[in-house]
Amino acid sequence: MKTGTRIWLVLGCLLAALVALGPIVWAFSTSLKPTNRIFQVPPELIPSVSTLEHYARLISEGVHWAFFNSGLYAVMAVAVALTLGTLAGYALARYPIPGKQLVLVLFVGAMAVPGFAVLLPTQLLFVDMGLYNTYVALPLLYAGHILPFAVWVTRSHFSTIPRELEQAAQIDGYSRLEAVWKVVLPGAKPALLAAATFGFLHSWNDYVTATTMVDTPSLRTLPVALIFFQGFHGRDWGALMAGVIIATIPPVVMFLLFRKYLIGGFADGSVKG
Amino acid sequence: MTTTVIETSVDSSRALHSVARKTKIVGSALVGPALILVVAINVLPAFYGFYLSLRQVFFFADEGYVGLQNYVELFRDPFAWQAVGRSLVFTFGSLAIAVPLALVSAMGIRRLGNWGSILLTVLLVPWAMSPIVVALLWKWILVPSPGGLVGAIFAAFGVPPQDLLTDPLLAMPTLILIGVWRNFAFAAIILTGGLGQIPRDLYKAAAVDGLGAWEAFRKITLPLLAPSLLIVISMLTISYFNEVQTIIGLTGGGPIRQTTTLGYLLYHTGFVELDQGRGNAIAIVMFMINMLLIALYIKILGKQPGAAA
Amino acid sequence: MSIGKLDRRAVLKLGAASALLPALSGIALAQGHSGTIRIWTFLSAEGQSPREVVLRELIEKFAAANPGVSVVVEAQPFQELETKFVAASAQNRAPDIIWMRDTFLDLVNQRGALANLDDELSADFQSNVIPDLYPVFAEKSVMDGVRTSLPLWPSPAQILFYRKDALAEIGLDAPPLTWDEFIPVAGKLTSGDRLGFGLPTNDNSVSAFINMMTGFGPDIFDAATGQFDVTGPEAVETASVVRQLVGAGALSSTLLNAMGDDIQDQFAAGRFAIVQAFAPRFAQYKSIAAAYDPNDLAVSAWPAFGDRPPAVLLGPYWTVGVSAKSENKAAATAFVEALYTPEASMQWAEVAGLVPDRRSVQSDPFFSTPEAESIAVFNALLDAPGALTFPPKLPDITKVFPIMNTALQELIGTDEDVGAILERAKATLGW
Repeated sequence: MKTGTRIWLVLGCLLAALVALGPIVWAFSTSLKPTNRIFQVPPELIPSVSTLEHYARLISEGVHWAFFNSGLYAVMAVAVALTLGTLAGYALARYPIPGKQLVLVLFVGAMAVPGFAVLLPTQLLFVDMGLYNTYVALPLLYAGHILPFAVWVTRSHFSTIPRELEQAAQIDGYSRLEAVWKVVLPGAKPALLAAATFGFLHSWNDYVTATTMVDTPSLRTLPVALIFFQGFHGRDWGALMAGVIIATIPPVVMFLLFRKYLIGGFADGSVKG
Repeated sequence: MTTTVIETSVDSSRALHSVARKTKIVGSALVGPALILVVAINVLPAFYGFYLSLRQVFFFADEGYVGLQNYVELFRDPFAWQAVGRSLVFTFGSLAIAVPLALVSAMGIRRLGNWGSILLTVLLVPWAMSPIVVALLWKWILVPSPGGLVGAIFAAFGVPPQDLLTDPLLAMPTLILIGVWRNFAFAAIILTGGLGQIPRDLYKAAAVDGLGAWEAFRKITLPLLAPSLLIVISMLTISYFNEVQTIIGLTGGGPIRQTTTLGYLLYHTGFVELDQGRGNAIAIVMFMINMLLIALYIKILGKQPGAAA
Repeated sequence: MSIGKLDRRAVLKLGAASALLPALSGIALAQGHSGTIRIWTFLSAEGQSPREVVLRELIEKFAAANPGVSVVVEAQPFQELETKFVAASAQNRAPDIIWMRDTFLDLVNQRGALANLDDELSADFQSNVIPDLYPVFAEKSVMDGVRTSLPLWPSPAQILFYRKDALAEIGLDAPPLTWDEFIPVAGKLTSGDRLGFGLPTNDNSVSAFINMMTGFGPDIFDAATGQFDVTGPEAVETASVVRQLVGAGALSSTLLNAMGDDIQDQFAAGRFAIVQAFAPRFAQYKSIAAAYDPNDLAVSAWPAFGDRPPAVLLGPYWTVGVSAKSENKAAATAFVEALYTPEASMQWAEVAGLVPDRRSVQSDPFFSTPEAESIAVFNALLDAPGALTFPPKLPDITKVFPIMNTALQELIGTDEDVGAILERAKATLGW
């Protein structure tokens, strides 16, 4: 590559990284400044006086419980969605299902429903079932939102794997379940991790469903808890930015860990159909 | 492969039937739980929402059946059409910026090899954030004071702090840019994958044939990338069309309705004005538009080589 | 974590599902109540703002006097309190006590969500305390003969806060109280980065336009329908004042989209000289003052038109109700009563700078001290000749504020003909 092109490329990349991360770095910087210096002119990137008071405030108002709740709900939702989704995806790829076309349409159609449009009916349904404002309400809902994607991704993956692979394993003496578990599933790792990451993000980042389906502060999720730092007492920018940072860390960590699979998985699932 | 004719007796044909039936049962059992959960959580409420849209419902009080009146009123409401227009501006404005940006990023990322995938991770961080967190973050960055980030940048150029979010002309472009900031890396991933599918030999052959870089791009890259591009465009369209949380957090539909998209109108009608019959009507309209977009998406996907049915 | 959660959840389930509870509280202790009461308010149990501190102390006091009762505060975003409450009530999971805005009282009551307090309040309270409350607020909570709630924190509601230091710059102690004089003064107060006048234009719970229009007195509200004439001469004149304020440089189009919280934020940072604010937030404004000395914060009535007295629109404000579906109405009502004792009123006043609910408490020496200056001003405003309330059944309450706010945005941000803007607002409202 010509040096000239390379330099432009590097500059472009630096600019892109700056634009992508700049806001978050600025938020982090703000979260460490004492309140009376947050609006200081000219603003400083690296605080000359730093404090952890905003993070302390988050803890004193119980935001860490919301953090745990968000994590718990997300993990539960992903577990349910991946389990049921893999089963369904496998079945749709391998078994004759009565009304398969309709089933597929239902799964796809489910993704078309705008989330907050069905909030009220969903709320009524959950209250009638006694699930409203419980520990399982949000994980169940999120699982229901993630499932279509999980089914789609696993089904696409399983369709590309020839049946012969399982059959060969079965001839070798494995039961069908073992054949799938040992032979087929490992190859689905990228797709599964992609679905897991997507699912985790959806659950972790959701606001509208969480604020409607749960009233009790001890069951709240992180995005909902953060809203309380802007309100009748003005906007606590320091605490809000501290909240932004802690809300961003888990998804970013997930990315760093599963970067490989995510990129591969998405490309896989979408380009190949 | 040789074909072998297997003669079946009546007994074994019955056995085959029962195996077939058992297979169907197993299949259904495997799909069943997922299907039930999806239907219960996504589909049933949608039907209930449709039912509600045919009634006059205000502040949780059901005031009776009104047929299609909510839809008719919506059809006649100039603000509703304005909202549709805003949705179109937001969606296609964002696409117009996000897609080329994603394409350029994807090409750059491929050139950079390992560093490229690190860069991609960095660019994905905005996408990992919750829409409400994005709104809070950008509200802070855009705060119209020299102490804010954008305000300080403006000050460095000698311009007094502008309130980008309250300017009727600049609010929508600002929202579009923030939406692009949040989303485009996701598109870049898919395009990176798509670019990877193009055999390098084609470029080598083109070079041998004397084609310049721009021509190679036009004649090789674009056509072969078309499937990925279409996927990206479809996914982004659906995503932008349904984007509401950032609008609620940043502009509240204003100034002067300039950022009231159809999605925001749904929120305002159903959750602020509490006209829940009409709100559900808007929801159904959005649902149908979404279904259309997804149907298009599936159709495009179905045409790809190597797609399993 | 899990223990704390299980306790609360188990206790909630107890409240919701137990049929024994009412019987138990009947059998139980002559003086104490028992069970759990859930309160939905925008205040948080762990908050540090003055009003939250007082609430916490009142809860501790009540819990000490009633050891069998557990009081749980579940904070909700303040714009969602009424809607969440009605949804919860319809689904039989309402909290026992609800904080809500008085403008929603009629709607919420129609949905059968509020208990009739005349049946629940103790005889002592009804004969001694209710007459001691501000009549204008107490009577407004009586809908069709049913006492639906009790008003809390009597105040002039949406009123003007201003900075004495800013006004001193142009040689004034306080803003003028007629619009003709106010407009040029507000224009002069715009200097440098600071704007003369700040109004929320995108806050669904307030309408600055209506507040300004009350400068014509209570007759702007039709006695029968409760509506005001959106295209009438008063509205047109109000709109013209807005345009003049823009012309004088007092109002800027950076106000478009502003909510009450934004105005509060920016006022603390020194962006405005005079703003519209919610009176009970006075102590809060003082505590977050950054760009000016908190002691320079002062309160003023709205200017009026012509020679009318300055306008003081008393609403929307907060009221406290008990859920009709509460399973522990006795304990809930007892707690509500605890908010209105003379001691409680003193606490609201001393710690949070609020006008005491009990008028009789005003004789306490505290109210003559300089710290109580803002309370004295609020009191004067409450008794002012220009004081008026919203009609109790203002129609289309969920639409009026957003639609008038959009009209205000159009008045500030565009050059469109005033009449056209008002016509459009009227048509959208369907009045």
